[in-house]
Amino acid sequence: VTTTTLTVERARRGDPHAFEELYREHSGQVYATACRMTADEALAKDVTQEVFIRLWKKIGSFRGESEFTTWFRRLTINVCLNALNSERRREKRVFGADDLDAFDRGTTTRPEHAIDLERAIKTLPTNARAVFVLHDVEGYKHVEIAEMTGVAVGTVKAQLHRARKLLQGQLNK
Amino acid sequence: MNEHPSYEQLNDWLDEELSEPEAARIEAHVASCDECSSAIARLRSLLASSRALPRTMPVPADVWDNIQTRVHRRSALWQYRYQLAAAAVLIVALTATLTLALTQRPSPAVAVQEAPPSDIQLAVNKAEADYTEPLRALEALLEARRSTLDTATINLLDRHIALIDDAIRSAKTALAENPNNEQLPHLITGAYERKITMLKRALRSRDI
Repeated sequence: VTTTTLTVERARRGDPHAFEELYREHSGQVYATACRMTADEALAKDVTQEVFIRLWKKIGSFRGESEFTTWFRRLTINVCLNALNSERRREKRVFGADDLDAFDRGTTTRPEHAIDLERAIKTLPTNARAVFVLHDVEGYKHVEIAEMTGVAVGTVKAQLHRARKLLQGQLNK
Repeated sequence: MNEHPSYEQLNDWLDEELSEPEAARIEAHVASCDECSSAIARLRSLLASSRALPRTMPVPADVWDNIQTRVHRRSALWQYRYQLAAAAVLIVALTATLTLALTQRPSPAVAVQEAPPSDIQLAVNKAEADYTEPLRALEALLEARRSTLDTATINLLDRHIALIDDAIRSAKTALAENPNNEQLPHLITGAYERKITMLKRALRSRDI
């Protein structure tokens, strides 16, 4: 029995200290994933907050069929994707244009000099960035990403290839 | 394979997404083509850098503060659990005691003449009708928001509502057996009031 398993069990019983321990142990990873997925630190803070509120609400129903870390990572990704969808709807209302098209037209701000990978990821179009982070950083497979995002595997691959190409272009400047 | 594989094919090969024969063809080509070999090396370098990114980042301090505030508000009902449990037990105990006392005490015939059972029953029916609509609205609201409440809160609430409903049923059974008793209607309306208060408190606590 791992320490996390014991902490989860205590949190399931409503122990606030156990919940705080889970936060201390996992919040850094949630925030890192959220920062990369959203490319927006304010939104990443909201996502992190939402992930732990949902954890508090749902931990009572976690029965341990899957590893807590697997279940929790998936919860994090779902909240990130929901946040991106909401953001995309908001942007469409404001700008009325798809971010991919905007990027391809060269309207997205690009750094003038060579930049590091974290900054380059931030410049990717939303969908390509999400797929790249899920596949190349988080290690999910194409088929898992397709299931999470509700798009075809072919689309996931296309977004991933696009992201890698764009990143190589940015990093080689 | 003399023709260079596409960028997509090289990616698929690297991600092990190709069939065995196709992968073998590309592998053979890459082994003999400097251009494609360099392309693969650049892709591998990108993947290695991506996988080496730090797994965690320092979280701004106000995130935990906000979570605590929201969780504290959400669990307000949970904090009242002992008081709620005590209230529910008290209702049940009162109902049981009164039911026993009232059903064992023979009703004088004169009392039947002074307070016809139908009047008391009618008063209870009217009181119940007054509670029906607010309760229905609160219960509908609770159902709509059920998925947003944490499991501990919803379990607690369900248990206490079931206790109050039992108390109401017991009191009504006692009233049916002692239709001229004037105390039982107060017990029934008190239980309804308690149920409404509990539902309102639960719905307030989810307002995060």
